[in-house]
Amino acid sequence: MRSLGEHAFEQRKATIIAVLDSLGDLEVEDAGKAGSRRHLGFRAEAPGSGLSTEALFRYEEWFRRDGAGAWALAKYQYDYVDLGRGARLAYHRHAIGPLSDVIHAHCEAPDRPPAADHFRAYELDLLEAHEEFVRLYAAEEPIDCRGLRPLAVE
Amino acid sequence: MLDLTKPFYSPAEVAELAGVHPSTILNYIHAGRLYAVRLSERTYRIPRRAVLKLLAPESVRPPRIVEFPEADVELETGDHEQPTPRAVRA
Repeated sequence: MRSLGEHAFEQRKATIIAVLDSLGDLEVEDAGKAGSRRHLGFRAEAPGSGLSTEALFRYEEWFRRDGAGAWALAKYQYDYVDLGRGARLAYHRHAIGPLSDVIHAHCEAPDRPPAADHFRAYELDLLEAHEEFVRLYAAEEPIDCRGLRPLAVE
Repeated sequence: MLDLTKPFYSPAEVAELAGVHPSTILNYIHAGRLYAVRLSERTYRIPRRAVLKLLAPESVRPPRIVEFPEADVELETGDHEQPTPRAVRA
């Protein structure tokens, strides 16, 4: 994702809010706008509006200002939790131990012990991850970890 | 007061609730007026909350948005893993 100026950042935030707010009860946190590092967090509990929560969509992003004053994405965590099945699928980009900036996935399914703590993944945007997650939820499909390759992280 | 108990609805179901033709609901979706998850070329699933926002917007609590512009944000910490919530049985 290219760096975002203030207006583009707020537009993207508004788009994400509109999408998640149509899915479930939404909480948003935006911290650090006045400084050089910023955290954006979204938590949507679906279906919301008085019904028992079936799924959680937790998205967090951390940004740092670049030389032009725009916001550059430094790391992210995009998590989908299927509460009904006790399963989780997540796409992350952050440091793991001494390794910086590791793009990876997490996958937990109750009927299969995790083959690894981390799986290989490619970089993706929040809305790309969300599209995959929400399709699983809407189609009532279980999270399937079998197609993922373990990532060895020393 | 709408009594919606399912997490998702089809365009036909929403059309019946709204008292309009299903094509109207599809038009709303394509115009971005109604959020829907597209499962295939012809299959949409509309979240309950989106249905409520369309038919009874006064009943929907707006998102809670908090801002801390002066907060000092840490970037250097690594994993922010949170434990997976245990399954919730209805």
